[in-house]
Amino acid sequence: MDHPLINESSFSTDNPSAYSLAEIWPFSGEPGNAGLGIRVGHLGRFVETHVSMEESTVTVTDQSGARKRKEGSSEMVSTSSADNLNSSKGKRAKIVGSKDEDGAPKGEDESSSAPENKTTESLKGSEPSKQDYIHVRVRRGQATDNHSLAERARREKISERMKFLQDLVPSCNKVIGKAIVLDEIINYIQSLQRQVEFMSMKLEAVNSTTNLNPSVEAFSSKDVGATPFDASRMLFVPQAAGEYVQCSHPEWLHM
Amino acid sequence: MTLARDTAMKNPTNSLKRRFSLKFLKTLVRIRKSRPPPSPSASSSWEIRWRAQKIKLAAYSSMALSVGSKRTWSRALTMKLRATMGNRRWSSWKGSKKMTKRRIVAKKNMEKRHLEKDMNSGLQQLRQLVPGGESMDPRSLLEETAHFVRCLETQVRVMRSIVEGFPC
Repeated sequence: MDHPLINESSFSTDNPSAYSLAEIWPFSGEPGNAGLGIRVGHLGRFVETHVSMEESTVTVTDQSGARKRKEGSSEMVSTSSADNLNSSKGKRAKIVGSKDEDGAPKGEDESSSAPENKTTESLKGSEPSKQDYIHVRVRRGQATDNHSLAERARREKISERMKFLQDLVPSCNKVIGKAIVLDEIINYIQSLQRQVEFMSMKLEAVNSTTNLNPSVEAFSSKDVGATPFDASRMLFVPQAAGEYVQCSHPEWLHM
Repeated sequence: MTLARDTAMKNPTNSLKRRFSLKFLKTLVRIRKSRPPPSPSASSSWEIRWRAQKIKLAAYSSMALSVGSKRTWSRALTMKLRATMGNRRWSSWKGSKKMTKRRIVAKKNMEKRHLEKDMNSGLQQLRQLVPGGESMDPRSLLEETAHFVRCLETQVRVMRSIVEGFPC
């Protein structure tokens, strides 16, 4: 007595995505649109279980849509011909019953898929997600919404730079803590700037005590050489005929 | 991030040290040529300080020029130096010296209240120290600081070796 269209066994879970509404319901303008809703709901459910592992958001909307349609439809299941109407009434009871059955497992589905959603999300977060552009490691128990993810990415980048700075500045190797490292870096920069000033004063003293030498243009071509820069090495380049009275080794200026 | 720069700086033919030392030496020579060295008796402390200031400016400008415009701090420094040189006023650098003292005092105060918002105040100080750092987000500020520190180290090393070249 099962109407081939209404028969639930026609819906198999093997390949639900192959079903399309046009295929199953060649007559869509029937008064049994409410029943159509039920069918769609069932179909949606099967589609849901098929895709639940892939798209967590889609399942929720499908379920809610199916729920709405189920609630809206209380009337009979549609059939094309009138002679099936009697049987459809009988079927309605059956389908309602099955609907209730479906309702319960559907509730289970939803309750089970809700934590499933969360686990898939956290699973996605704990592995480098391929969809995001920024790969972030999310630990268990931490919030996984967008804001905290972005903040955590930002903080990690900042700490990465801080680590690099820590390696660069010799004084803050042993300390731990961003604030102390920053203080040390600031100290270091200030000491470097003071050293530059000190050196410039020394150079000024040197400059004012040395005589001007005539042949100073040549040093740029002779370059600071292929070897690392070393002033003492430049000292001993016997290039210029020295005319230096006061300072004994100013030849380095024009190697 | 900076691996490429590391290799560039260690590259013997075109390292930052080389470029900076060349430029700096040229500037020094030009300074020496441009004005006759006065006798020690005639120069006041003001003159001495002014000459030292010129050398310091020459050092910073040659460093900024060697870096070029690749870095935010070098661009900011170049612009600041041009403004300073253009106006022939070195009071802005004098002002920065005062800021150093103020910063030292502020740092002492900060050590007292060590637990309050250290990161932000430290970042604020960094912004004042690193040229061009006033309007940068913390991440790029830290990167600029790293490069700036490295260039400063190079500068100090070169200057020290120049100075030590003169035994007198």
